[in-house]
Amino acid sequence: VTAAVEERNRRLIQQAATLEQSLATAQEARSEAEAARRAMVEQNKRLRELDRLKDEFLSLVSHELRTPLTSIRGYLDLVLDEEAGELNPEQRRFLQAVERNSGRLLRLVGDLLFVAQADAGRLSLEQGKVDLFGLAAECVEGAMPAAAEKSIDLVLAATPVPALVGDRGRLAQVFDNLVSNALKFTPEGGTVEVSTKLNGDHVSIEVSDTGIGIPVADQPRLFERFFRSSVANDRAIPGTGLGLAIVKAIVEAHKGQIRIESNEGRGTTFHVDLPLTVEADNFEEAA
Amino acid sequence: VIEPRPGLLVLVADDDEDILQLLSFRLERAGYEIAVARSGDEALRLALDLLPAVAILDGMMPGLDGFEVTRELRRNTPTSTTPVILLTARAEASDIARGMAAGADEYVKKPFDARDLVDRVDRLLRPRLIST
Repeated sequence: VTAAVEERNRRLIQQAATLEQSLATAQEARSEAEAARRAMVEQNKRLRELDRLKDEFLSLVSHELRTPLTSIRGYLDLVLDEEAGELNPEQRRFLQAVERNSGRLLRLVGDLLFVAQADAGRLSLEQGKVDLFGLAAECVEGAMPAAAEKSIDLVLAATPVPALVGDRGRLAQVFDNLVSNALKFTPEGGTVEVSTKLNGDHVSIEVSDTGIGIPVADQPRLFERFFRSSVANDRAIPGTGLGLAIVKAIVEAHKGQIRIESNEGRGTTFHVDLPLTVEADNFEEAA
Repeated sequence: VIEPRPGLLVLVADDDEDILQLLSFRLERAGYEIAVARSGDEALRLALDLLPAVAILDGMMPGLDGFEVTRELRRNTPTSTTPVILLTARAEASDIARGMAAGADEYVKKPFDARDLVDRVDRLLRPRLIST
């Protein structure tokens, strides 16, 4: 009897030791998992903080650039308006180069500020009646000289559409960015077509080109800010990689959608759908 | 076409000397008389002393900023209806709302075209320009 009890005791002690060991292992695993979770929470917090700092930095830089740009362009205009005396043709040509480039800088600053605001969810849109057909026509007219320079056939195939409520200046930017993009990536002698049409309760905008196209591998990242397609880099086509990110942000701020269809070497079409959620006729202009 | 006439005083306040001179030059060319201030406190003192026809105030100045000067002008009877144009490098909706809440008539974002600013002053003073 004593032997049997001792044997059982020994087994129990052994079992208890095994249990204790697996408990320790489980505890260890749990505390490891807990440490990993804490590290991830911490890392997440740091990433969010970095993201916030980056947006703040972008916004600060853009703001700080705006005041000096006001002066640069303001004084330049004074000289170009011949407020300080007559200019000879060469002086005018040189100063026009300064003006062009300060204009580029100005747009870049505006674009940087825009993406920073969009990322931070602080996009402020003006609300008014917008005639997209008219905007398309204006954009095409404005881009004619650039198209002519590359012998590109720029075609307006738009039909009148009902007005919608949105930010006129920003929606003009959608057309301008898409069309200047299309012109940039279309070789001489090609065609760029801009169209608007009513599609149920949406207005559909299309900008299509017979350009070099976008490789399939690049397409998913095309609307990321600062993303540059490999073909753009290979051919040293200038750009900041902000244009399409801005287009997407504007379209989405108007509750619309954008997608692309592209064949390498054949051309690209950008489709934008904007809902006519509020018919502009029922919309009271803000006082 | 309305020709601005002398005798209409525009107060321009900005701590950026170049912008101050640029605006003064354009406004003088358009026929306005100019008073300049380089801080919000100076702007408020000059506005109450000289009672300008329009005040152009930079939003961010040392001491009192443009928003605070606007509020003070509204609180004082002689300047309670003086047209105020606020200038700012910040272009967010909350700033515009803040400017309007302070009682500004117009809100101009930097970078602005100085010629456009002169047009705005002309527009604000149109009733007075016609009557002179």
